[in-house]
Amino acid sequence: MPVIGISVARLHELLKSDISQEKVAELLEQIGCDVEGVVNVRRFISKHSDYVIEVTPQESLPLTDPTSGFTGDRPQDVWAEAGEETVVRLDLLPVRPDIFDAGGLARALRGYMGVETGRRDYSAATPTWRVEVDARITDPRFKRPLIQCAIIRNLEIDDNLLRAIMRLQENLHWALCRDRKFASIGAYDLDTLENPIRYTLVDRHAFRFKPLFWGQRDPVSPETMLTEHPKGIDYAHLVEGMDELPALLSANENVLSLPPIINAEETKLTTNTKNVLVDVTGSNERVVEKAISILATSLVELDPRGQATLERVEMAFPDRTLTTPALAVDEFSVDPAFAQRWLGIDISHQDCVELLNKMRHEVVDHGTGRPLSVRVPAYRCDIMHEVDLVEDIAIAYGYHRIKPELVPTFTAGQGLAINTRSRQAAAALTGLGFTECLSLVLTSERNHYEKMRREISARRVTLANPISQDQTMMRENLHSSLLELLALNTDHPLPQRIFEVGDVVTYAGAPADQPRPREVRMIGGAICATRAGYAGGRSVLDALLHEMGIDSALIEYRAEPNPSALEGRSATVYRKDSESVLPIGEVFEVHPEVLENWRLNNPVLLFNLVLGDVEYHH
Amino acid sequence: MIEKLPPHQYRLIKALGTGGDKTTVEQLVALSGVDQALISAAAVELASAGYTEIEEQPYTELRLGELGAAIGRGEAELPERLLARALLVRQGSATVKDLMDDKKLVDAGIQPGKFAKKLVELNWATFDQGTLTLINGAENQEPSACDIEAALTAVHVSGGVMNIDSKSDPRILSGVKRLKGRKELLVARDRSRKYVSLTYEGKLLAAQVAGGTITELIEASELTPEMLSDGSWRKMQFRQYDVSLSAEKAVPGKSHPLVRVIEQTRLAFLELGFTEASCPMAEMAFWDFDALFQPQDHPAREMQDTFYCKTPSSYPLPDQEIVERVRQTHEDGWETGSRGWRYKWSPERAAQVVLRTHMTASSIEAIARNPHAPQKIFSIGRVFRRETVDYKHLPEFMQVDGIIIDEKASFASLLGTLETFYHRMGIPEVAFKPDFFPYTEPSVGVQIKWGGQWFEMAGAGVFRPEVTEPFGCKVPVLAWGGGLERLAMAIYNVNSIKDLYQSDLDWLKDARLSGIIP
Repeated sequence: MPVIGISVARLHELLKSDISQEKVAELLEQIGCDVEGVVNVRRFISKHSDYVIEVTPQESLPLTDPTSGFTGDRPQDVWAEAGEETVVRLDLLPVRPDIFDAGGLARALRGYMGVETGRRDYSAATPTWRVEVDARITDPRFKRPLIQCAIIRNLEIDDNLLRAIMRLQENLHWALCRDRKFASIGAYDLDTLENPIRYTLVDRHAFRFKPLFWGQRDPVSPETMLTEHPKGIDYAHLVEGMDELPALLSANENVLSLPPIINAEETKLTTNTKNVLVDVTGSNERVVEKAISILATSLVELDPRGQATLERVEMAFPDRTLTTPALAVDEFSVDPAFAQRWLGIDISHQDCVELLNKMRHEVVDHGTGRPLSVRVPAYRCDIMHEVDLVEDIAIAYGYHRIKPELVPTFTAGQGLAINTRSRQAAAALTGLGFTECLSLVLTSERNHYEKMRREISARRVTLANPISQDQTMMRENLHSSLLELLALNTDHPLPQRIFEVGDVVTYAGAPADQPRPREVRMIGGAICATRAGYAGGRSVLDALLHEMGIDSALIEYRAEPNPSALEGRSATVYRKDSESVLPIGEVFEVHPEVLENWRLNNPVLLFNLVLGDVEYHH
Repeated sequence: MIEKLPPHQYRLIKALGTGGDKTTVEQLVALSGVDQALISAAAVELASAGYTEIEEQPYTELRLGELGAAIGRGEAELPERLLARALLVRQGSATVKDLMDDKKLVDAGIQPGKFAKKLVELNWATFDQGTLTLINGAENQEPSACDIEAALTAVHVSGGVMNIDSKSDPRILSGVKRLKGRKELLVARDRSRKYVSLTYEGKLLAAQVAGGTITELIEASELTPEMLSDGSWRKMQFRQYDVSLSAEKAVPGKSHPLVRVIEQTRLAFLELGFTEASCPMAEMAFWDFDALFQPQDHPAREMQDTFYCKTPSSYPLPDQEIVERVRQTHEDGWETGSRGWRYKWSPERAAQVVLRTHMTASSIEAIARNPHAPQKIFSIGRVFRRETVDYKHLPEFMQVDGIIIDEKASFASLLGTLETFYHRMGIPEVAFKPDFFPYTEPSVGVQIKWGGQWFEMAGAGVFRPEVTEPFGCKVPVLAWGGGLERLAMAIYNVNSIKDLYQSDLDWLKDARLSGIIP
């Protein structure tokens, strides 16, 4: 989970209330943030772009500036010191992108503290700017047909705010837009633009522009940008196979951006910017709408003087015209009696109204005994059912204030028999001095078959996306798991007597048309000693069979070919049932070649016993 | 008044009485017939009672080296002497460079440069600007025997081994000192010798022993079956042991520490009236995700985080009516009052086989089997996440998941159940904070305090109606899930999760059944 650093000074300024750092951290925890701590960070600005990074005392400076791609031998080749700041570090809460920045966080905290409650009306002004969308963009064959814009006026942008906007954009890209797959975001200095803006396509090779963080180099084609610019390289896959790329162009021929890849240098935000245009383009309607709502309202909230205002933009599609951001509220009915039952806390109708107001919702109260109408702000992404608002009530009430209790209903408990049997078998082996081990169910063909001198089973459970060459399939038995553990412990004194109770997955005995494998609980053991003969294992297995209640008259030990075993020193154990004879276990001296494969220098005896199919319910 | 002495003490006193003053331990062994360890122990016991005194005297044991022995036998010469002879051949003086060609020296492996200084030290020669000149060499006189030779001769005469101390012949002592580091000639080891003598009280005791007024105590070291069968134990005195001494280490066969935590967890839930359930490890995505209202584009479902099976790649979807309700709930909320996720739900994606990512799959399958209240169900099992192996992560770990289906269930009773469970696991402090999971509302993160530190232990919440209603369950369902490794790691003080699955046998044998008591 990425960590965000929120400036404590800025947060205090925006909270309009003078509370201690500790109290802020406590309140943040209570509304669901994971506070890592309050730390002093040093800030560095790239000597090769405007990129700013913050470094905690424990972290070291990277040698590469991620925006320009410049790499130096020493940190001072890349970075220049640019002051320090106290920040509260939080784990990003992906489901609440509306509190990714100091503005949104302050909005939530002001409500929680009761300083400012209810839904804020951003009263956006009527459009004076227009975005014309090319028909080729809205063509169904084009994958990112959606665009929404907003204008924020009278914003006093300083270094801090510039950085905050950049961070918000990065975090929204990551969490809400799924690394730009669903949508991407841009912000521009409105005063470098001329009305109207065109959302159109430009040629991949012929078009020229100067991407952000391009320094003193000449303008380049989109193609060059995609192969040479660090951001171009990172996101080229999103425009793969397209001869013409989407672009936002101003009437004065200034380039805004080539979404979803990169903005242009000439229209970027600076500390002289007063008015900002933001855009969200993409494929997922819900994400585009949420992103523009969050971006527009958070930017207004971020203005420390509280004088920034919102202005809508006219979006002219070939077939319709929209004004955005719509900031449409979503209305839900919330029954206070239901909330009380669901949460198990004693709250009145009026309490519910107040708690919802604290969470910055607008509540229309129809009188006691009747459900409330709750209008949810457009920037909230996580409200889709009444129960989501019930959770907001619980958070506003404070989880720490809820009195834990128990369900009063009596129920009789019962364990699964296979687990009881497993512990009986384990008790028999611990009584015989064996040490219990655990290992992974995932293994590899190399470890499970090749090293064991066995042929690879045609039907086995394999992974489509393994993460390591040691874990590509599910094990069929416990043999390789046990040998692997012995191989890790060759310096441990002998004799070594170990066992594992574990689940294995097998198609043995399954009809060819059955897709589901059997999941079987097994107990398996190993004896590694200077002398580890068949007889020693046989007596252990006999004891295990006896303790597990299997009548010796029903048991038959048969010599069967076993490629993992020394010839003539291997038995398969069969249990005679009323109608059939089933293999239930094995005991054998491990073949010396197998021992060599595992780099074991002492003889090993292996045994195992099937305890039964894994049960899922009574 | 002493009448009897334990056997070793009795024999020691007796031996000292005949051995005279200052008897060495070696002599006492010979005189008493008791072995050295036991006679030494008896001497220490008697010394602490004031009857004996033990004095330790250092000495040096000399042994001839290979060359030293050959010189003693007259089969070889001291290198210094060979060098002096080589000088005599050259009228008493020669440069080191000249001497390097001397055949006798070459044969004996003597480097003239190395030994020139030793000749000067012996006062046999002078050494100036590379030229070695024998004192009295002009008179063709070989140097007389030096202290080194005297020492070697003395050791040879005493049979190749000889003990010396500070009072020995000064000439031998200086020879030995000069031979330090020349192991081929002589090896000197510092040793000490113990002398035992009687104090005044000891002498009185020895007289009583000699006179027969004090006799030997007949003592048995252990009780034998014979003593029991013939009753002779009645006449026996048993040697008393020093019970403060440590004994050989014994280690019982043990269950794995994580298994103990699993068993404790099972017991806790069984005691609280829960029924146990489980589900397959190779599970259908429908149960792992879709039935839990986890949208198909959720990041947790990506190939990056979840293991998908190549074979088998899909299972047949369950009952069509159930599937249809789940589809609609995802798309538009169905009859649950939800807005839904608003996307096109794919049955193919739901039929994919994944390795279960949480035991919540078992909980929802239990609801699908029987949606009626009241029920309490828990499931413990191995779950899989696509993680690379490091000290905090493994691709597999154990999870416990539980649900309560009950008319009277509420968020408050969820917190109470979790608090009670952790109390039963021996953890007194539990805290709750808001969290987010796609299938519960409200959602809560559960933290426990162990050894002064807070650990994130479990996630919990009340199942969303979008999860339960498609299965016909209309009452609140409390749900929670948590990893068990972290609990085991806290209780057994393990730093790396790898230690639990790729264990060191020493650690497994050492991990106490009781766990660490904080």
